[in-house]
Amino acid sequence: MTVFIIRRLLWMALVLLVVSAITFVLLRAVPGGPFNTERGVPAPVQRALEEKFNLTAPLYQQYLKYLSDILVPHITGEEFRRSLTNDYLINVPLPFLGEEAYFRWMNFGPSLRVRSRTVNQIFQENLPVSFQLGLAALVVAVVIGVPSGVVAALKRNTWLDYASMGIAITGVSISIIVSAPVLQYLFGVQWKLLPASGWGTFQQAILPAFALGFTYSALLARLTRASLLQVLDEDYIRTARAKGLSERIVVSLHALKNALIPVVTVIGPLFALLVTGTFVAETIFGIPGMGRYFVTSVTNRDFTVVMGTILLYAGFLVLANMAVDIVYAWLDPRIRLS
Amino acid sequence: MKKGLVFVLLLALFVALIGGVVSAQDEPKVLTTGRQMGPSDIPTIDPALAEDVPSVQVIDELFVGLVRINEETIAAEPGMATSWSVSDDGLVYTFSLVPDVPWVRYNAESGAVEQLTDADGNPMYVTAQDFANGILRTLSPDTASPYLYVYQPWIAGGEAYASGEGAMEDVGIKVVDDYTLEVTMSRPSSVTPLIFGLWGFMAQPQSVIDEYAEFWIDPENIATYGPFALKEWVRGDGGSLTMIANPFWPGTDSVPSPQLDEVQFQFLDESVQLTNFEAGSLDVSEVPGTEIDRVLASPDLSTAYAVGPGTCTYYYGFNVEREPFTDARARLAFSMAIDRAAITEDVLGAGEIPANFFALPNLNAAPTLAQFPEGGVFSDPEGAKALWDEYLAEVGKTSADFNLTLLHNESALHSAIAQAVQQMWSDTLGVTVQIATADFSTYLDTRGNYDIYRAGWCYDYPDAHNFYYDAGFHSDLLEENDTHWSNADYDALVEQGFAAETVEERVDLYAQAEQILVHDDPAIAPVYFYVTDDLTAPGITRTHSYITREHYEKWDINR
Repeated sequence: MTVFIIRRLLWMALVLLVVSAITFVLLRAVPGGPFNTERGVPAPVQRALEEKFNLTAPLYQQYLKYLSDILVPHITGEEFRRSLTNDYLINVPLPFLGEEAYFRWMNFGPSLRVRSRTVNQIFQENLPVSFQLGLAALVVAVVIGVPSGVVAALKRNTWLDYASMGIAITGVSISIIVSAPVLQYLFGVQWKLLPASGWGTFQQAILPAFALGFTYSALLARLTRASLLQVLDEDYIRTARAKGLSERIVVSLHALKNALIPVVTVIGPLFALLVTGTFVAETIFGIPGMGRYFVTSVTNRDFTVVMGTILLYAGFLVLANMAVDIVYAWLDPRIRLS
Repeated sequence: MKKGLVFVLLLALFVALIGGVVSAQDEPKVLTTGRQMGPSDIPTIDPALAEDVPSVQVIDELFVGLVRINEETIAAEPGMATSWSVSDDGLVYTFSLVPDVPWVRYNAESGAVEQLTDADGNPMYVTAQDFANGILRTLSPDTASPYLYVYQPWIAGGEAYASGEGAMEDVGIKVVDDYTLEVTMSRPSSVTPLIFGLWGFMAQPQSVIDEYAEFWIDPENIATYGPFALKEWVRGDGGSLTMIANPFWPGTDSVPSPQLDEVQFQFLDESVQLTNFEAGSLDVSEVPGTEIDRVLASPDLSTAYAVGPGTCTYYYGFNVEREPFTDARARLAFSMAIDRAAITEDVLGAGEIPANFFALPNLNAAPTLAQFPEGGVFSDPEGAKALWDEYLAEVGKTSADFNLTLLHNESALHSAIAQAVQQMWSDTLGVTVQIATADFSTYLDTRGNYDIYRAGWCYDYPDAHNFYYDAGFHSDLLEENDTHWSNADYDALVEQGFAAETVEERVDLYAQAEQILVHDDPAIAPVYFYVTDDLTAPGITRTHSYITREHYEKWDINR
């Protein structure tokens, strides 16, 4: 297990390195830069900014500088002064080295467009919001999707089956671009039951989590149903029934555990998708998360923010997949990680 | 028994009523607005770095310039300066400051706005030195302000200092005493007072900036002095910024003490603003172009709706280095072939005004259609066709010989307008123009390589000079001018118009310059003047600004 995790982490490092290199080159290959404005920035200002943010050096040097800022840890003392170009994600006090001694690691650089904020600050303040939203949406998706899939499978070809699969098809077919404003209008404007937008309270989370999660609950429902139906036809289920076990035990203990393996396979990437794919939900519900940065930083040519968010999301995807593999082993002991 | 019950009920009702009245009085007046904020985080609230409308909106309330631009009349009024005098040669401005205005900061723990004190515990007041620091910091090459092009030409020695060639000591700023500032200008102009109403020339707290570097604008660090203080800033797209009334602001005739307790700016997409407005959770909302018909048709919404003049002109630029636009007749023909009224009425519909001129009519010293009914460029299909045919005959080509492309930045609105204009050019001139789109950054970088590009110019300060000079059509700025157009007569008229003493003379000279720019030797085809429209919830007393930003200290809520 440990070997497996270490090996996967090493792979992750390689994946991130490749992703960062490709992103870096692609970003510089497109026209436009972070300091573009309608009138155009005066040439001396443009030069000063490019020098300040290390955009004048040859491309490979810029890239190496970027990597080293993130990878090379520093130990700092009293002289450390936090600034736009000198801000670290990880700051651990080292009391045995002195009062002001800190271990500092991972400097993702300043946002080039918003000249008062670092990429770290964006991570720290806006990522938790997207994470909470993604998690809430996942809960919605699982809580609605899995049970309705189970019901549909057990009551196969009854009205319950048709009803839940009908809802599932509808859910998969309707994009959040449609469902979110409709929910917002009905619950926020027409009936005034829930806040129409915003973030911070439980009530404010309900609509976006539902809008985002519902589509995927349909996906999970269909998957659960199909998988459970398949498992229920297996020989060992017949054996379990022949042993005289109650139907409840047969389904919950013997069938469901195996039937959920494909579902878990989907949930990992789904979680990553939910956390990263919150752009539309964040825009419609006015939520200060990372999803919008992920998109707007590209159009703004905010190089450092693009790099930071891409690396973050790539790392997140790899980790989510790794978590799925680990859960596999627990669900089905026949699967060996090594 | 029954009587007793009635009594108890009446008492309960009475208590409830009193309680209601008391709580209504105690309830803080909090205004929520999405107006002119956009869906993204505010880039900055640093006066030296700001260049966009949302940032400037907030800065104008947290800080006050020496001069305050009245948002409804666009006149220069006293801001932090109680008065100013000008030397006979028009070069030296002497400002007297409002005394005893303290630097303040909101304390989240105590929940109150507090005065800043120096090392000895004495309150720190805004002095002439703070204004000198602010102006010099904005002009400093180290600050690298993206808005430098507006600031650097005005103060003597400013341009040299900003470009890194001159010394800070040679910039014409002198602190006479704590409350007197003397500024020497590089040239006399009637526009000068407006420039001191710009955010880059506001007082800046040098000691705070030194201490916190770029993070000095965070709520826990910032020091301000205007009618409102910064309470909270939820950063990120979809976030918000909350200002709280500053009890230490003395209140002047032009900048009164706020009636509102708090103003919360929310960063929301226009359509989300409208949803929130209808849900009752937003007091002031913008209106998406696609919803105007519905708003006007709804009894509730139409009474809340107001339209006022905007601050931008929509235009098409012609690349004069590419055929056929190397010839002025071709450019004029393309401009005259645009049916501007059809665009404002059929494509837009919020009351936008067809533009015959480049400069907005409500600007200081701008020529207007009322004064010059024959001036500028008019939609005239026959005239356009005749000019175009004349040009074609001379060069021996046909419309089919031209393969032209128009570039606009991605937007449903720009696309709808471009398609309408494409049809007009095809119908009137028989020319097929391809439409290309690009994201904003790519568009800015590449538009100079296309035949025609869409653009908008929004003024930085409300004087016609900003359109005729700063927008880039004066040959001083040829390098940044993507039409690559220049005209010596135009340059001369713009310079004379700037220097002329009376407004009448200026308007007259600018009208001649305008005639060259859009008609005689056109560089651009102005299309329409923007409007500003929004929805206001009932019970709000407000101003309707002509300068994009509102001065919320003049607003009130009674409901």
